[in-house]
Amino acid sequence: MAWNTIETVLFELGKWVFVAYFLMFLLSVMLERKVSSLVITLMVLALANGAMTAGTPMLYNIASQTGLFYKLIWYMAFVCVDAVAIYLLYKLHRLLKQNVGSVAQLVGLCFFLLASIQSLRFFDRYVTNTELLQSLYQYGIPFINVTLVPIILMMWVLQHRNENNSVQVVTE
Amino acid sequence: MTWLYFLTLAALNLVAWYFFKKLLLLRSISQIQAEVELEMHSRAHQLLVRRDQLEVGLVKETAEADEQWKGDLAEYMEEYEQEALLRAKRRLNGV
Repeated sequence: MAWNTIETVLFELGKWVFVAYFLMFLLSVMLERKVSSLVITLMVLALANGAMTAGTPMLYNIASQTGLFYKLIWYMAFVCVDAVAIYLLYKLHRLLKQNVGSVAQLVGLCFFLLASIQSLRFFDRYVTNTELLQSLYQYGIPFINVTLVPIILMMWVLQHRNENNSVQVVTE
Repeated sequence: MTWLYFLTLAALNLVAWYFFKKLLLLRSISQIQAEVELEMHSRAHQLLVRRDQLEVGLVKETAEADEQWKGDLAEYMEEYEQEALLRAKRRLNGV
């Protein structure tokens, strides 16, 4: 597959990522019917992604002005949202006394990776001027966001299957 | 100034890492509790089976067996909390 096609597919899918996260959150509320690690995780994921999607046009306007400080605002806003998302994951699990599931762990790791990519890209672009990480920034972020959807769905199905199996073992 | 801006971003990343480690710690505790709960559930099941056998009269020398059962139950109740605490302490020292 040509690189241009991959780029087009990634960005087309990227537009639908927030919708996918939000639908998964709704589905989890309907199916789980109680507060669980998965519901908390999907809520934080939808919230953080929604905030980033809504803030992007405004941030783009700010970042297009001349001056390094305006560029910093662009990168810092995303790092802040990622850090707050990880904090919310931790705090909500603690407040609601929920066991931290594997999906929460994965999503937390992804938020940290996204924050690191933003900081590294700033370093690469404005501190060293090497432009080595341009591709990582351009494709890495949408790739992480898009691939999270099928991975979470797969882990959710596996988790359900395991729970059903253990219920069967206990009742036998 | 560029370095200062980058250090600000790096500091935010450290904050993100700090909360991610706390999330991992919480997951570790959750896993220990789940593990202990599973084991204790199996022991509780065994205790219930023995109680049923006692009540139906499948076990001879009922008074002695009843005392034994009560002792095991008390031991079980005591161990539940202690085991979880012990494992948490042992495992979390390495985190």
